Formats: sequence, structure tokens, C-alpha cells
Amino acid sequence: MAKLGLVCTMLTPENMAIKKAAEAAGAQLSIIRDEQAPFSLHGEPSLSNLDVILARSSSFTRSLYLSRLAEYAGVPTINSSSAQSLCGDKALTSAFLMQKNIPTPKVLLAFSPSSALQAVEQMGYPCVIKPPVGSWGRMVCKISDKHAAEAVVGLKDSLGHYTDKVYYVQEYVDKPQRDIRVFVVGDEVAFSIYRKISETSSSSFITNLNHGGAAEEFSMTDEMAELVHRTASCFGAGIYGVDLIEYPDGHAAVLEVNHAPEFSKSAGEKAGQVAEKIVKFALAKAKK
Amino acid sequence: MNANQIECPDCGGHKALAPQTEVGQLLSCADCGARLEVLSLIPMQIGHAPQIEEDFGE
Repeated sequence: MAKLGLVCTMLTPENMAIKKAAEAAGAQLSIIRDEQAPFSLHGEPSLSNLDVILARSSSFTRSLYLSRLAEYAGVPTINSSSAQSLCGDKALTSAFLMQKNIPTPKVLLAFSPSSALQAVEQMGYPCVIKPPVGSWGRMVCKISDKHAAEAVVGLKDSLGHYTDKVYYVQEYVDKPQRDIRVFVVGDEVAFSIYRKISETSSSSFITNLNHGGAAEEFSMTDEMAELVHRTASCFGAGIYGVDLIEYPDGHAAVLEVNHAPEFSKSAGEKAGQVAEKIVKFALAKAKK
Repeated sequence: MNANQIECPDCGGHKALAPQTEVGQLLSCADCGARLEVLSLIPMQIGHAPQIEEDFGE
């Protein structure tokens, strides 16, 4: 049976579900914790001895390095390092989507506080400033006026990480208090949900479940399904969380694409089935 | 304290582990909400889960 590597930072509920599914499928599972041992750049045996790797690190940086090492060793990695590098950086995701003619909100990119304020003025109020790298809705700011823009840009400028000096200014979409998460495994949609701003949400604007948003199962329109499949195929066969946002006129656009999507909260009772689909997909990609 | 019980390193609260608990599994302290990780089963060791870093996410 194929040797499946699960690269992770922690045994999150998703990784526990994948472990259980891999064992049920009879795979030889190796769990590789990204922070527990050094990795050799000269043929790391914990990676090169595997037939396929599921890259599920919580850390984008670690996932990218380890996936590239595995690929150099000839081990198929899901998702590929090239897909991860696009998905893990919102600026690159947006640029890639636009290049592929996939509808996505407008974005301006700036690299200094003064050009960031110009970008905000050009985009118009309200707009959204996001960190290019990051997740779970952290530091996503709706900019309602010039004072807010100056405050957020000034704050980012004072922070120490180099990605804080990258100003990703996105069009604000007046969405209907929800967005859509579509979980794709290969050609298949494992589930699709609304993520709704709820009474327990910590934000009146961010729908992320980590901010208390509520998951509600729903069926996509044919137009949405076509958009999701087209998007996923552009990034290459893999496992993605494709987020859609609805404009007031009802048409949908791709907001972002997640390369190691979580599913324990969003899939609810289907989480075990999702893990089974992930393992089945990974084993089909294993070295023969 | 029983062999399958852990003590929260933050608040000292006690929690019984389920029989199928595994090394690396994440837990929440029922008393204080601390995010914990099972470091070892024999002997039973518990620690803080890795801190969330800037590039963590999905």
C-alpha cells in the first residue's frame, strides 16, 4: 500500500480525521511534524521515502519549503508547491485570477504608506486592506474614510514584518452578510456552505468561522459551480477551499483560494467523509 | 491524579483524557480555555499548543 505522508504543524481536528481515514484505507501513514526535527536539503529521508505527501502545515512558510523539498525528491505533493505559493499570497492569487479571466474583486498593490493612501483614494470608500499573507480574517480592515485609511496604513508601517509593508487594497463588495466556501477535492465538490455573519460573530463584516461566523449548507447555482471548477483547474488538480463573494446584483466572484482548507467546523457531520475523499485523492496521486 | 488525567499548565485544572487520545492531539482546558497539546502518553505530558504565527492559516 502507498506510503502517505501527512505534513502538519499540529494534529488539528482535520489532521486527526485524515489520519483516521488513511488508517481505514490501509495506507502506510507517516505524520511529519514540521517543527519537531531538522530537515536535510540533501535528500531528506522522512520525505523522499514517501509515495505522496499531503501538505497540511498550519504555517504557509513551512509548508512551502517542505513541499518543494518533497517535489525535488520526486514525491508528489498535494497541493503542489506552485499552487501553494499562489494561494498563500493574496496578491499573487488576485493577479493569477485576473490573468486567467476569473472574476475577482479589483485590487491595487502598494509598497509605501504614501502610495497605499493613493491606492485607497483611487479605489474609493469603503475599501478593504488585507495582509497579503495570513488567514482567518486576521488584520482584514474595512476602510470607511480617510481617517481610517491613515490609521491602518500608519499601523501597518509601524509593524516589523516585511509583508506588513505590502499594502493590498481591495474593492469592497457589499455582500449579503455572507460569503460562500466551496471545498473542492480534485474534480469533486465535497461540500459548499454559506458563511454567515451571526449574532456571535466578532465582526460585522468578516464572515470567517474563526470570527464566529455560522456555517449553513447550500447548493451552488450552475454558474457558481462552473466558476469553482474553472478556478480549481487553473491552480492544478488539488484540494482547495474556494471562497466566493456575491455582488448586490447576484453575480459571484472568487475572493480567495485556500490551499490547506479546514473543514472540521465547516463540514460538520460530513467531516469524516471529506477526510476520506482527501485520502482517496492523495492515494490516487501516489508514485506507482 | 489518575494516570489518564492531565493538569492544565495554566490554571491547574484537571481533565481526564479519552482512551483514544494520541500524541500531538490538541485539547482545550475546560476550566480556562488554554490550548493544549498532548506531548507524551507514557509518561503523560501536556504542554501549550504551538503559538499561532503570522503565516498560520488555511
